[in-house]
Amino acid sequence: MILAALLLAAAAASPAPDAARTFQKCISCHSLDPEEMDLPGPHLKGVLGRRAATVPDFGYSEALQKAGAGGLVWTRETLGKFLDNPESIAPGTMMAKPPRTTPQEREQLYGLFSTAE
Amino acid sequence: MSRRRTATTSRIALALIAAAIATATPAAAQTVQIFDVPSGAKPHDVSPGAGGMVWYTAQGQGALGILDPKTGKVEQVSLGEGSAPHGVIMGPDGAAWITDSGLNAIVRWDPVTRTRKNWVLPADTGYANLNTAAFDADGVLWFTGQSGFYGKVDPKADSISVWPSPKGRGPYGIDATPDGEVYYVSLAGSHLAKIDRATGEAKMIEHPAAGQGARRVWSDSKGILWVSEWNTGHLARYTPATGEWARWKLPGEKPRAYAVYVDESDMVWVSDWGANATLAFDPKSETFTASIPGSKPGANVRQIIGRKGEVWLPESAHDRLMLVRTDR
Repeated sequence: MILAALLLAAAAASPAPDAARTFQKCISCHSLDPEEMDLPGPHLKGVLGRRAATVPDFGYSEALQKAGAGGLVWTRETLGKFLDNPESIAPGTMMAKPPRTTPQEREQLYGLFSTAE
Repeated sequence: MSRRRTATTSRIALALIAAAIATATPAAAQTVQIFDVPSGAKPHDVSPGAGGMVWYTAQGQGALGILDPKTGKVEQVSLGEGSAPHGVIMGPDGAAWITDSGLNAIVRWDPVTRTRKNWVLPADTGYANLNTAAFDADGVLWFTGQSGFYGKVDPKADSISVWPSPKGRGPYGIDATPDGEVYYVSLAGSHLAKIDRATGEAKMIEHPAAGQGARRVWSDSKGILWVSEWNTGHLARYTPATGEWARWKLPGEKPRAYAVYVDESDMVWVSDWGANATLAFDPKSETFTASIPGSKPGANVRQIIGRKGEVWLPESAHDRLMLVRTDR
């Protein structure tokens, strides 16, 4: 129960429990709360449709800055490729290879990214 | 059953390069040697292994890597479908103990029988993002899970236990002091914690700088703890006996301190992603005395460890292990 409460609080958006459990695969480095700025990765609120490396004041790698400057926008397709292999999208990115996610889990994550308050 | 695979792609023993000692007082001559590992291995952590071998986690290929530094021969042993190993250490039993985030399990690989045993985390834990491990004075393995957990495997009792960490996500590096006490740091939680080994309770030790991003921790021979600060680019020292902190900013415009290790001479080593270099820090003079550049740009050294006369740096971005010899 304590764990569930922690996860839900961290997810910030009170998603369905299964989505919160899926977000546990991202939670080490990312938040859905734009106010959380001291994490290893940028917040993911509204990431779909966002140009890469554009969260203000986040210390992106040169690789992602270059990709963003080159026009990379996060869509289901580009984010999916990034989740499969970050190096394939931004060679030199600081993001380690993320854990595996199923297509259903990806849809849950995309839903969270879209609805985070 | 372990699936054995010999790395035919590994190039054997490679460049012996003159040391690149960049700064003031090079106390001893140092040489570096580079070993290639299979392409795509993404070596995350490294450890001295049994029989003079060096083990590494091939995070990109779900395997334990075994390097013979004498010949440069590399072998990778599969850890099973879904494996994505993060940390590896050699236990007091001579086995490799692996924190495997993909399997959500602690894995023991026996180099004699070449068999492995997994302790899978309880199902209600969910994905823990298992990170790093250390043995305490009683032979119990303590580990961190970056999603917000720490726990232990008691090999004698054949049991695994997990606790939620005090501030949720973040538990990253972990180490034991010479008297066997266990401390870990929280990257997202920006604190140091000491584990009460009897109760399992983790007591936070607040750091003087908020939001510093404590990433890894290592004890020196006296039980003094050294912490690398990812967010602020500092090297920090915590003295448990007095509760005192001290901090030193790494040189350069935008340092990012990732890994920290203290060698047998109590020299402190810290990797800096901002400078693509690994620095040596002399606690006596409180100065950075050497800088070992990555073998190529963006080496991404995520961990440092060694044994007498050797400091090992896994270059995760380049599928290479760098050996710094400190006794020449």
